[in-house]
Amino acid sequence: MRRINIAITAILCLFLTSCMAEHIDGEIIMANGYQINGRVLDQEENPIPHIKVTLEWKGQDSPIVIYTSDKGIFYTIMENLPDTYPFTIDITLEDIDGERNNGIYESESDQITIPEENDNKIIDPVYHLTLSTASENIPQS
Amino acid sequence: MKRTLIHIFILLLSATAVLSCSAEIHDAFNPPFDYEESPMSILITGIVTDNDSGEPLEGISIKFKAFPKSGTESTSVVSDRVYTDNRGIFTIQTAAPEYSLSCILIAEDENSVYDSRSKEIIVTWSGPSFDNNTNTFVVNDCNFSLTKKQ
Repeated sequence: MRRINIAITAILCLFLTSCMAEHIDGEIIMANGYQINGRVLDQEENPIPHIKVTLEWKGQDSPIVIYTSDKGIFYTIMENLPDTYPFTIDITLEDIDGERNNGIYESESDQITIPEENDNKIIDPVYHLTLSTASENIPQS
Repeated sequence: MKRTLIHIFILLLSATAVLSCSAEIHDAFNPPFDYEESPMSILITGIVTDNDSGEPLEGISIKFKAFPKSGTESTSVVSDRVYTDNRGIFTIQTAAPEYSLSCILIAEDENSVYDSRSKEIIVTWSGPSFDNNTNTFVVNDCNFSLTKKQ
């Protein structure tokens, strides 16, 4: 009977420890900012690589500039965001590599508003860019 | 007997708490898309800098290929290409198969100002780099220092 009590207590401690450890890991990663996982596609849902993505918000030291991967994905952790809600993140997408990747895509701008603090700190926008036919959109070298 | 019943009761309460904990856990790494539906993920981050000045380099291409540890680059099972941001930082995140992998990363300047550099990472799905809460093999500080071409 005593051995059973000891075994039950040991299992109890194991459960509680694993539960606490998982929570701590999650909180450390997400405590200071938002994660943005975005995707840029063409009108046929194909990924567009090497699109320049600029992220700006009020009070920032300087904009964050990232680029889409071959899978059309852009990703970063945004830290030092405003302390007060709501706040807005301005996103600009630009095709900077000319005729590569099937042509020149028109730029696009978006605003993402975070209305209030919540546990879900992942932003996952999807953008569809349109091919441009205007010659003035050819990037200057 | 009474003590045993109390222990069993506490155990049941804890089991309930564990189940609710599992539902609330934030993924330390959340892959953006489940398009490959693999439980395993690789996350590699690093900074690319100018070897002389130490300044971060923006827009450097990082090519990534993963192939079975016993295979060659021509048998790659996962590949991607990302670019450094304006802080010189790159992030590679991808689903991957569950067996051991050899991963090659090549930092390349598409404007041909800098020489290329490569690194190899062996993914074993174990050890200190493996986060078994999220099934993610994490490599931070995979940094490159590039030299200008002569």
